[in-house]
Amino acid sequence: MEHVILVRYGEIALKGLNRNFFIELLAKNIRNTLRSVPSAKVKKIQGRLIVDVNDEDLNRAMERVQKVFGIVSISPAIVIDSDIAVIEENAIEQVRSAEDIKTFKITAKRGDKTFPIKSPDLCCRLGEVVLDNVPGVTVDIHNPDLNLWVEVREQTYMYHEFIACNGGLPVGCSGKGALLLSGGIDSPVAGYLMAKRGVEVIGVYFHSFPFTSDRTKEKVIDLAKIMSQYCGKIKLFVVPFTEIQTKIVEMCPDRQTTIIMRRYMMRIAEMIANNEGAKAMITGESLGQVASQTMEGLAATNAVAEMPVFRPLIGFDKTEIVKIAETIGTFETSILPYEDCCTIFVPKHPETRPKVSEMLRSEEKIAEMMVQMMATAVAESEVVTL
Amino acid sequence: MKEIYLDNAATTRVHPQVAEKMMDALVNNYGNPSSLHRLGIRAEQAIKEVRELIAKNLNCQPPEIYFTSGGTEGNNLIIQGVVENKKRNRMRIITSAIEHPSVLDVFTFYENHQIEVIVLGVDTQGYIHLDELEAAMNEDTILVSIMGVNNELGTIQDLKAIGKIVKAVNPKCIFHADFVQGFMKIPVDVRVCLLDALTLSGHKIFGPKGVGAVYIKKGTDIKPLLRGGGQENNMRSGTENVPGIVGFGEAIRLRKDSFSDEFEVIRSLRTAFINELEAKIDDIKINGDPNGSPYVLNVSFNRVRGEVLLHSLEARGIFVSTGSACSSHKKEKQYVLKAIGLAEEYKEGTIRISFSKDITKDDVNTSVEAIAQAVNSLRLLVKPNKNR
Repeated sequence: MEHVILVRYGEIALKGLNRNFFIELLAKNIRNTLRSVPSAKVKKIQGRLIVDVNDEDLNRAMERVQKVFGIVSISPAIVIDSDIAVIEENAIEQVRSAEDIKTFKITAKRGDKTFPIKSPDLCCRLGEVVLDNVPGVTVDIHNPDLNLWVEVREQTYMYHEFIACNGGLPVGCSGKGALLLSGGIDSPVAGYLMAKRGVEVIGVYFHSFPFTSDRTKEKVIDLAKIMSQYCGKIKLFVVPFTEIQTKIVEMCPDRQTTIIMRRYMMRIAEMIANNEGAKAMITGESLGQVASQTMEGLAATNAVAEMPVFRPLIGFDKTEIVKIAETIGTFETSILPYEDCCTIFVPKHPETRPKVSEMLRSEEKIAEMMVQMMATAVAESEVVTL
Repeated sequence: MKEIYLDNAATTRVHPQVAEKMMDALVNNYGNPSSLHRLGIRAEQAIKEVRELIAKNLNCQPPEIYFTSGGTEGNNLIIQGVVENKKRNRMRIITSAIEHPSVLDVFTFYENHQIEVIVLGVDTQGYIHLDELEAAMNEDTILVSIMGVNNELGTIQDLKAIGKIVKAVNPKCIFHADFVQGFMKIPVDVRVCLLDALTLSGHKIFGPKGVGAVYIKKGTDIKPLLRGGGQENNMRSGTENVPGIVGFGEAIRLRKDSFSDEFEVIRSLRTAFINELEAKIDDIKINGDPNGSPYVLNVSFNRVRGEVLLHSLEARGIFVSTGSACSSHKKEKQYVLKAIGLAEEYKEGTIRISFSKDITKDDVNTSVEAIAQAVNSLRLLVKPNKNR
């Protein structure tokens, strides 16, 4: 008897002729997440993926597979020969070994039409042998404590647990996006949500030592590592930003520094995105959350970008964002109390209604030197792959 | 780039001779002191020697010394051990507002347990007001815990005067001092100061982390934190950290005859440091008492963020801290500076420089030069009134 994980994919089944592409991608992502579980093998069967895994690795493998986008639900299952005697024996054993149940139901599906017993007949037959052989249980077809699924194909799969997963699309099917990662609560959640829609995420973090400590950098790396459980491999660019930031603070009006800084971050992120073949940028901005995230503030930062900027959190409240961050496990790391580049240098009275034209005027003095400085920052970025 | 380590109040680098002795204990003197065979006896002998050494330096008896895992455990053992042992209807415990978190947090924990907790304020230099202490003392007071040397400011409390006041009002009240920053830097006599308990730690004096000791006066009722094998005369169960204790002992041995001379050397370093700083940088404030512990220098720079200054200095190979390393995990980071009433504009820009015998006059010059450069360039980025 073998143990497997049955993997059900939802939305991708609808994608017409591209279906195979999506399924192959999903299989590849599952294989990647199971690299550390050597016994696991991913196979395709009709309408499902199957992960073959050693008994002792089952829980670890399930934990990892659950986090892969594009999966609706998974079930740990046993695989047995499609032989009625074997099926009966295992059905009895499954119900017998279930703890704390009084009622059960058999849901049999005959996928393999060469199997001689039709689905409804198989339900009845298995129900009967279980009743005869397991004392103390009765049948309840409406609300059973245990619903034992029996799928008869070339081999037969038996399972009773459905573990809901995160849905979405397989990462990579929607192209690549550059996520501006700050170390706060929001940006990892934004990256997670876009990965859920199939975006392969690369991270861009602006490091302003000594204004942000090396601990902040470690924290961002830790965050990317947590995200990679969902997003797959993440290439993180650590951009040295001190000189640019200092220059902005030195040369530009105090109340505009935050917005101008963000405009340069956007420009640099776009340069990296282009180098990496990314087609969009992703930020954790949420409308009105801070002074720079007013509609005018967003417009002012948006104006420097040629590629689309995805802001999946735009309509989210902080509490909603925190809830997701807690679920995906980034929250605890995000709230570690180190300075990040957004909290330091915050002017006392930041501009909340910036105009693009005013920004351009303020940037005039530095625009020329920034061309070189930005190129240097991109070239000197440290790349960490997680 | 030469590293200049000015964070010795956080921890110190283990002395090579200490490391050597510890290595020997790890590899050769590996027996369990509780074992009946000779390897056990040999290990027991090693810690007995350290116990005697500490006792001699505090002017107490060896059985009054108990080994712990360090300052935090020592403070917890004394405070919890006293409070948990006395189940009376009315209890009062007194401490100061600038204690280490391992004292202050235990006190505030008891605030919710029908115990009257009094936290004495301090003056601008960090001294408690003795008359306030006297007024706070009463028959119900079971414990007074006042630190000997403050870890952030270097303020040295007058333990002798405090002991006198405590015992005059209530001879049964237990008087404890956290002496982690003072041990082997300034002398203390537990009999003269009328102390019932004292907390010590190894890693502030070039010994290893994870080892410390408490003095508990004979006959003082303390309930142990840990139960088990009954080591340390039932006060602290758990197999003794033999290599740690041996290292602690060696660190003490290396200092015991020289620390009063060292005190003067460090004092002149600190004075030079202050003079240089004041000459090179304007708008600064030296916190604490100029006559406090010379090992600690707490200084505030207006218009600079302490944490940013710390990182700029780190880039120049100079290591300092903002406040104490132990409270950098806490939300309310600056309670000590708040307690001495430091003005808001200085509070944010505070760093702590803490010296050791390894710091030279050249190091002082290099450090001050680096601080001046960093402060002056950081200040350029702060534009209080531009474009408003």
